[in-house]
Amino acid sequence: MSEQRRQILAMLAEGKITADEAERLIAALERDREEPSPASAEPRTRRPKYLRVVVEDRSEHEPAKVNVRIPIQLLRAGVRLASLVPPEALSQANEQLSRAGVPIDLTKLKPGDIEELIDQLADMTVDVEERDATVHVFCE
Amino acid sequence: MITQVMTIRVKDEDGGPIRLWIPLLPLYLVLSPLFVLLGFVVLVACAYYRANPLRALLGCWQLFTGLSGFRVEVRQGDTRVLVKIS
Repeated sequence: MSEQRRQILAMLAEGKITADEAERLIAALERDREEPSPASAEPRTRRPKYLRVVVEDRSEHEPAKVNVRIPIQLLRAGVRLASLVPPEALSQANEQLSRAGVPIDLTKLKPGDIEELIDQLADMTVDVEERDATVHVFCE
Repeated sequence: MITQVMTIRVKDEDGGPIRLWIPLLPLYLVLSPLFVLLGFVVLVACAYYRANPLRALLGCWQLFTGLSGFRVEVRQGDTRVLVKIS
C-alpha cells in the first residue's frame, strides 16, 4: 500500500491533485487497509460460549453417554470471585493443590487474563479414547 | 440474562417420558429474603476481608446469570435424563 501512497504524493508534487484531494485519497487507502477484503479475509476468531464435555461409554453391558454443556460465563464469574479471595487463603489453597500434584498458582490468576484464555479456548480440543470409552472436551 | 426456566425430562424403558418445565421466577420471589440475607453476608465478609463489595456482588450476579444455557444429558440404555436451564 505504500506504493499507492507514494503515487498519491507524486501526483501532489506534480500538481495533478490538490492537497485536500491527496488527503482524502490517503484516508480512503487507510480505510481500505483496515477493512479486510472478502477474498483474503480470515475467519474472525469466534468467542466460545460453552464448554462441552461428552463422555461415551460403549461397553456391551450398558452403553452410556453423558453430554454436559457449561456456559463460559460461569468461568468468568468464577475467576472474578476467585480474585476476591484473600491472599492468605489462596496461599493455603496453592499448598493443597501442589500436594495433590496440581502445580497451579491461584495468586497469578487475574480477571484480565481470563479473556485472553477464553479466546484461545475456541481451538482447544481434548480427546481421550479407550477401548470402550471416549471423552471429548471442546469449546463452542 | 437471568435464568427463567428449568427443564427436566426423564424417559425410561418402563414408562412414558416425564417432562417438567419449572418456572424459576416464582422461586426467586419466594427466596428473595434469603437472597437479601446472603447479600448482607457478602457485604459483611467483604468489609472484614477488605475486598471490594461491588466486585463481589457483580461476581455473584455473573455466577447467577451465567447458569443460563447449562445443560446435562445422560443416556444409559433406554433411560434418558435431561436437565436444562434457560
